[in-house]
Amino acid sequence: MAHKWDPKTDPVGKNETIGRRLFDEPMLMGAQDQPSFKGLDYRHFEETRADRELSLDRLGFTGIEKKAKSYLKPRAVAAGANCVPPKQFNGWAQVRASVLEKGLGGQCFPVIASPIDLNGIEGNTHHAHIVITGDVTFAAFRLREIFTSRGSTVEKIEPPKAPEGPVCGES
Amino acid sequence: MACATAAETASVRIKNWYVPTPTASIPGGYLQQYGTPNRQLSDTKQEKDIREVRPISAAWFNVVQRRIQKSTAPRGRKADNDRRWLSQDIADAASAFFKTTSDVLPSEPYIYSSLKGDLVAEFSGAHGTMTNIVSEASVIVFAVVDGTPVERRLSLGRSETDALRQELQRLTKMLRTGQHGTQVGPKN
Repeated sequence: MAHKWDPKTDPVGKNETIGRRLFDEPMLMGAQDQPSFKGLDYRHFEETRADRELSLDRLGFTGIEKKAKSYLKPRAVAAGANCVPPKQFNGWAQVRASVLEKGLGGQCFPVIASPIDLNGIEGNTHHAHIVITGDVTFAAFRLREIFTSRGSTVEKIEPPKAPEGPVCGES
Repeated sequence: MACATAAETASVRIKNWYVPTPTASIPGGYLQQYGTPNRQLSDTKQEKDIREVRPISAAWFNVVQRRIQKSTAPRGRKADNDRRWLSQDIADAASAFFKTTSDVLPSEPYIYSSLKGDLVAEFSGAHGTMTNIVSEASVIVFAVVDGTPVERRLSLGRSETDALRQELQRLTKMLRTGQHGTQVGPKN
C-alpha cells in the first residue's frame, strides 16, 4: 500500500515541490515610469530576520497538489494582509527539494520540515524552512537563481492593470 | 651728435623689465618676509576636479538619476517608509555609483529598494543578468552568465573608482559576449 503523504509528520522528501511565497513589493516613488522587470524580485528571497530561517511551503509529495494549494493559499493571503502595509499574495516560486539541496555556488540549501502548530489560519502543517548560513545577500541571490533557472511560478497573479478610461473624479 | 648707446637709439623702450628670480637665489629671510606666491590651477575649481577624468554617461543616466532623486525620502518620512523611498545617504551613494560607472554597465537598470533600504539595480544582457546592490560604502554584484554565477563585493571609495569600473566593464563584457571566468563565490 502506498504511503500517504503527511507533511505534519513526514520529513521533506527529495521529490517534494517546495514553494516560496511571492508578495507584491512596492516600486520606488519616483521610478513608477520604468519598464517592468521580468525576473523574480530579489526581495522575495531577502531574509532580514535574526534567526536566518527562510520560510517555505511544501506544495506536494511529487508535484504540486491541489489539496496542498487549497490549504496554503488562504494562509498566504492572510499573511500578506497582516503585513504593514498589506501586501497582495502573488503565488509561489516553486522548485524540487532535491534541487535546493544540491544548491548553487558551493552552497547547499537542505529543506527542513517545521510545521507551525497553531489553530486556525495561523497554523501551517506544510511549513518548512532553510537555514541561511554565511552571507545572507549572496545566499538570497543563489536562491533566487535556483528558483529562476530550475523552477517556475505557481498561481502567479498579475498586478491589476490601470484603468484605460478616465478615472472617476478626473476631468 | 650721434647716439652713443643702444638704449638711446631704440625707438621703443622697455621699462621695468621683470625677470623672475629663481627661488633658490632668494635669501631665506626675504622668502619668510614676503611669502611665496600661492600658485593655483584655477580660482574656482580644486585640482582634483580638474585632473579627474569624467566618463561619458550612458544614454539612460539622466533618467535613472531623476528616478533616484524623485525617490529620495522627504524629511520626516523615515518612520513610515515602506520601501517606496530611499534614504538620502543611499540616494547619494547610488547617484555617485551611476555617475562613475554608467558607461560600463550593460543596460538601463530596473531599480528598487531592498528590505534593508539599499538600492537594487537589475541589468540584463544577451548572455545573462546582473544585479547590483548599492549600499553606502560598497556594491554587491551577482551576475549569471550563461548559467554560471559570478559574485563580487566592490568598494565605492573614491580611490577604488578605477578598480570598480574595470570589474564592472569586465562583467558587462561577459554578459555581452558570453565568456565567463571560473570564479564562483565571493572574490573578497
